[in-house]
Amino acid sequence: MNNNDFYGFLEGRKKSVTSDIEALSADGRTDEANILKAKFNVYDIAKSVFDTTAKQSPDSVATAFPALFSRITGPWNTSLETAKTHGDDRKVLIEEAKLAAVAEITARFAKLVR
Amino acid sequence: MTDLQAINLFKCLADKSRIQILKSLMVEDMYVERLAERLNLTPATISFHLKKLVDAGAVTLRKEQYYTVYAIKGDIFNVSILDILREQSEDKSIQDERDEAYRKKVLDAFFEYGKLKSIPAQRKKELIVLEEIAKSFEPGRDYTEREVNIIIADFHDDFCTIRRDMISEHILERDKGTYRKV
Repeated sequence: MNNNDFYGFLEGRKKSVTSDIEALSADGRTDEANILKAKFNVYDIAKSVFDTTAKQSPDSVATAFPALFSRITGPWNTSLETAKTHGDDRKVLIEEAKLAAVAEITARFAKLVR
Repeated sequence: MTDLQAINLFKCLADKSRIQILKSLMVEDMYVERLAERLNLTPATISFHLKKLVDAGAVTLRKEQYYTVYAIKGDIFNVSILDILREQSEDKSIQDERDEAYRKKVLDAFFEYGKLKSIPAQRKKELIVLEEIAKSFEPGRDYTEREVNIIIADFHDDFCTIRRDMISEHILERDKGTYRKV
């Protein structure tokens, strides 16, 4: 796997989400724009996790990255379910946005290491 | 309408999605899924905005069979902005509103779904948290230490610290092993 392909994907998604945030803000939908910022941060988290695993386990990054990334993002599913149970609509939207980014990242990574 | 209520209402209205929801509700009362379909937004996004509108007093809700139906609250929109601006702001109510807003901010920061996330380090904030926990104690009733611990443990595992702090802050009083809300 070429690490730059993964970095390129993360940067591309950040640009796309930034553009969505700007569009929502310009459209007067500030709350939805702010919620989307949570999604933006997930790409930075993925980059940091990938950097760490690439340094610590360069030969096994294909398995080390998904393992560490899912350990960090796994509790977000619980957080989403808890928010749904308590009718916390804002938190539901934030957790859904974060988990959508996780799904994108996981799928792309799996494709790149195949 | 108080100043704070007016600010909350105006803040709430300053959002295109919420204006679109209100426009839809002007046509007829609707439930979440119907609004989501009509405005091409997810049901979760609609619920989020509707909660804000309900909290600001712009929308009311009622249960109809399996659905919660939302309706525009006509009264609030029949008040003219000039009438709101003409209302006198009382110093006392402004201070009360500030205190209440601060209190709410602290409670939102330290409680999540009824559980205390951590004990505040600042005394002022801890006092607010302790007063909130104290609402679970009936006035005039005597409690054993075990009962006190059980009530506090519903909020936080460190019931010993909280119990002691409630005594030192004179929220609870202890007399020969019996506790009572002050």
